[in-house]
Amino acid sequence: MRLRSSIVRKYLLISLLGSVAPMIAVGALYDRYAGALLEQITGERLTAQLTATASRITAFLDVRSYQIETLSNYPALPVFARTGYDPGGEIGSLLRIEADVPDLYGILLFDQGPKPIRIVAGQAASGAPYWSNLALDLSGKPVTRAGDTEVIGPVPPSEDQSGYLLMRQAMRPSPSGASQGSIALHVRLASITELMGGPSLAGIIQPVLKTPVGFFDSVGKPVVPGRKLAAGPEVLPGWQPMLVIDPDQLISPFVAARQGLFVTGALVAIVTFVLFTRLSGKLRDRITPLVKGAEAVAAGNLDYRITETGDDEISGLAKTFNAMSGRLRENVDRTMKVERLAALGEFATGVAHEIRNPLATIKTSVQALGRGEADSERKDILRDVESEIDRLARVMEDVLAFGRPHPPQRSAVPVDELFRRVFVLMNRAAEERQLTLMPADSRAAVLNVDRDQIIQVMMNLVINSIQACQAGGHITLRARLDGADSAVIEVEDDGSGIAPDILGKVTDPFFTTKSRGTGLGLAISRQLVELNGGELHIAPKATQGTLVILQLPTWKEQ
Amino acid sequence: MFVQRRAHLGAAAIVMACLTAGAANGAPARGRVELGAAADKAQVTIGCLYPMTGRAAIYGRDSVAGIRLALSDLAAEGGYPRIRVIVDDDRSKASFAVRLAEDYIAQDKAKFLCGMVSSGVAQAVSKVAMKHRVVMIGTDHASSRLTIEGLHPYYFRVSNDSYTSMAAGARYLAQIQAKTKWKRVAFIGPDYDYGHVSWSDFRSSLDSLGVSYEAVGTFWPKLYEPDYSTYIQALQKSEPDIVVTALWGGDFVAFLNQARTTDFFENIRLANFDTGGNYEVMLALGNTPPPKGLILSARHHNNWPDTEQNRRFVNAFHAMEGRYPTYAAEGAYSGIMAAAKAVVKAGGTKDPDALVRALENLELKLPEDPEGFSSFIDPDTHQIVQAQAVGEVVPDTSFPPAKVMLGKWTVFRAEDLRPPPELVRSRRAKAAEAVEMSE
Repeated sequence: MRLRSSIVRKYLLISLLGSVAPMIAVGALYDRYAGALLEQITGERLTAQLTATASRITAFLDVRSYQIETLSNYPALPVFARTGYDPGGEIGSLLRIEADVPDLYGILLFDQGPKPIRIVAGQAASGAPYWSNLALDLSGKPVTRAGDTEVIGPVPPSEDQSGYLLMRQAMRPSPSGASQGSIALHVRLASITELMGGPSLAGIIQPVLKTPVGFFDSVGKPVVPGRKLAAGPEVLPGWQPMLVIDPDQLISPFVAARQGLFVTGALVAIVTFVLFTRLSGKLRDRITPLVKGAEAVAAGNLDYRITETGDDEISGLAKTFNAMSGRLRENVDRTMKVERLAALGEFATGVAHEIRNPLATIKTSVQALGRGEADSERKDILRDVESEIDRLARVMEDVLAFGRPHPPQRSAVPVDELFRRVFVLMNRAAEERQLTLMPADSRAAVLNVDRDQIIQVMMNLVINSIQACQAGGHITLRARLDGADSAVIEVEDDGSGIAPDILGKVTDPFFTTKSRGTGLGLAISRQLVELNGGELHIAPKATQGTLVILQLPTWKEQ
Repeated sequence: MFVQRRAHLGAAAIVMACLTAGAANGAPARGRVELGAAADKAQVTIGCLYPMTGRAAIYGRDSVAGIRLALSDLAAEGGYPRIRVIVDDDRSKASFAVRLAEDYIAQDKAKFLCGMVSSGVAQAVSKVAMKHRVVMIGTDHASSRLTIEGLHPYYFRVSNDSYTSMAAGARYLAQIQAKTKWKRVAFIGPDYDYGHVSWSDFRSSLDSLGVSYEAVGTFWPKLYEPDYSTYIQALQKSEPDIVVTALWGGDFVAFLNQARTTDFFENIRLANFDTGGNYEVMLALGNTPPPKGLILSARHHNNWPDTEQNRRFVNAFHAMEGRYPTYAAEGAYSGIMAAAKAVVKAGGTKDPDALVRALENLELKLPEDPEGFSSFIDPDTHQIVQAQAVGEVVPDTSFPPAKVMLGKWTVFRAEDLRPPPELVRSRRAKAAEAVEMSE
């Protein structure tokens, strides 16, 4: 059996397709939905989120702008900045109150130079320039203009200082129009970045603030954003809230799941292939004997039998195959036998016809010769010839009876009457051999047979038994009903019995173990029983003797 | 010269009888409380500033109770001048505090300024004290900058500062490093002077101990931050083994409560060495502390040291207030006791420099002192020198309604927690280079 053309291969291909195709379909769906999810996430909702974030930052900057604008226009401030003149502490109190919010490190006053000349610590003040030797150095810091306000920075956080920016405005100019310096709010950078909120969607979307010096995350730390950015509206020139979308982080669970799916699919395919390969091998091993058996039967070897192993379908098939072969053998044997018997009967009938008439002429001639013969010795010879001619005539009668049996004339034949008749006919012969013939009581059974033919059968069987038994032997006739339609008649003796090796042949025509037998007695008996719709079996006995079983139809009243 | 007389703390009834609270100078300002002697009877006036409103209000309320207990103890002991204590709400704002401090000095003739929870507020008031040569006794703020770089003769502090707490914390972490193998440390503190100085003090102590560590992130939410979720995510992203925090009061409780709703504590231990062991935190923890536990300490503990004096202080507070104290109470108590003893030692309040000399090296036996040790004021830094105990959260219902308290104490000797003189010199030298421009 070749795998290429085997049915196993087809099952293998279907199984592989059944196991792998859904996974490929699910993988494709994963891709599709992951893409759709990404599209949905990066779609309109982000724009709305960015716009809201920009609004919050703008509002914060507006408040601070308004605050610095108020302070920068305070009339006495330039003099205070320049000289420290503050009668009643009015300006000092104002500046302290204005600085006293968590979003401010302090308020810084500048002259024309880059370094502050006066500083007011705010609530969040720490380190430079309030309580540290590190002066605030604004040189090189980017400056963004928003109306009258300069936004300086942002300055990223360092080890000792949080990130910050300055919002600075020029103080009210002198009456002559000369510049009188500036005032700046020292603003927490994190107070702006915190307005963006934290990462959302399990860290897939990270808000960042784009500034002239780089990007900052929600807690005010510098970051290098990923490759996919969604930009929001500008809050200041060069300042823009953005959302970093990490598609890898979004897609990676899908990719991992898909890869897992494919690996599982590959494993399933491999396991399926291996299993089917092994299965097909085993199946081949099981089917090959069936094929050989079929080929053997096809070649005429009806005695071929397949070894039956296991209890599965193939084993059942092997049993059925063997049963089929056996029945085929029986049918063929039976057909051959019937044909042989038919041919034999026709031949025998023809021969008997050809012999019987000349034989009658020879007998008449021999009788005539005997009547005219005076010599007693020759007269005895002629009587022997006549006797042999009679025996030959009886043989011819048997041959004719076997070759051309009469159709049975069925009638109701009570078994006890049958037994009585046989007893009357045969008891004398049995007694002569000091045998006991015992017909059992069997009134119940009434046979639907040809009376004479069945009597002939019974007599044949009893004669065989008489011949087989020694003096003192027993011959028993029994009968019983066998179901509603048949009865069983048994003829049993305790004679010499039949050797097992010839048991199957004793009903064959012309088979005999007797020196003067014709070999037709049992053959005719069987033929007559079968003509009457019955069966004849010779059963081996465990002990000495022979048991012949006749199964015959019973009489039913119409 | 006042006569000193020892006496034991009386019953709650006596305590209450000793206390008076009322108005001075006509109608009181909103939030103003006066304790002790009446204005016309008082020999010494102490003006204290505490937040009485907002997230830190509990510190103000407990400080007032601590002051009452101090006045009670002083009265029971006898030999002290008649003390009048004014407490007003600084609203945690320097601008308020400066104005109130100026008024204490100018109108109430206060000879001492005391209190202040926020280091930023204290920085501003310290300058007022220096300007007017009035002794200021800090009781609740902790930035070490006030006693090192920013020290002036009239500033003193009677509660553990950030250096002391962080020195204890660094030693604790050094001890557990061999066992827990921690390496990565992150810091989160309020974005003002106290937070930054705490981080600086912590690193300084770790470095001086030779601890091998990696600082993986510093985070600075603003004071009274309402939502720490962004910072908690950022902390987790930095993957520390230990997070050290200087968040205090309601901020720390808010942080803790938010962190507990996440998987923060699955891989991270949280340490707060200066304020985390406060009783309000024990209350907030309920009976389900974080799985891997917290490492906490505070400037005073209700259950450590297990001394007669501490038990008496805590029980007297409970008898008076019907609740157990936060560490603020003992700080305020210490401040009043220090001021009273200094007045006695200086023989009056006329000479502020005599008061300064009296406070320098002043010894005080305080509730938080373990057996055999008395707190004393370091004349070089004007910082009180005290022992500190670091503990872990354990089930303990001895101080209801709290279900947990600190336990498994590791105690550090006071002498080991003082900043080395060379460090003090170095920090001051650097500060001296700064151009003084502050308003």
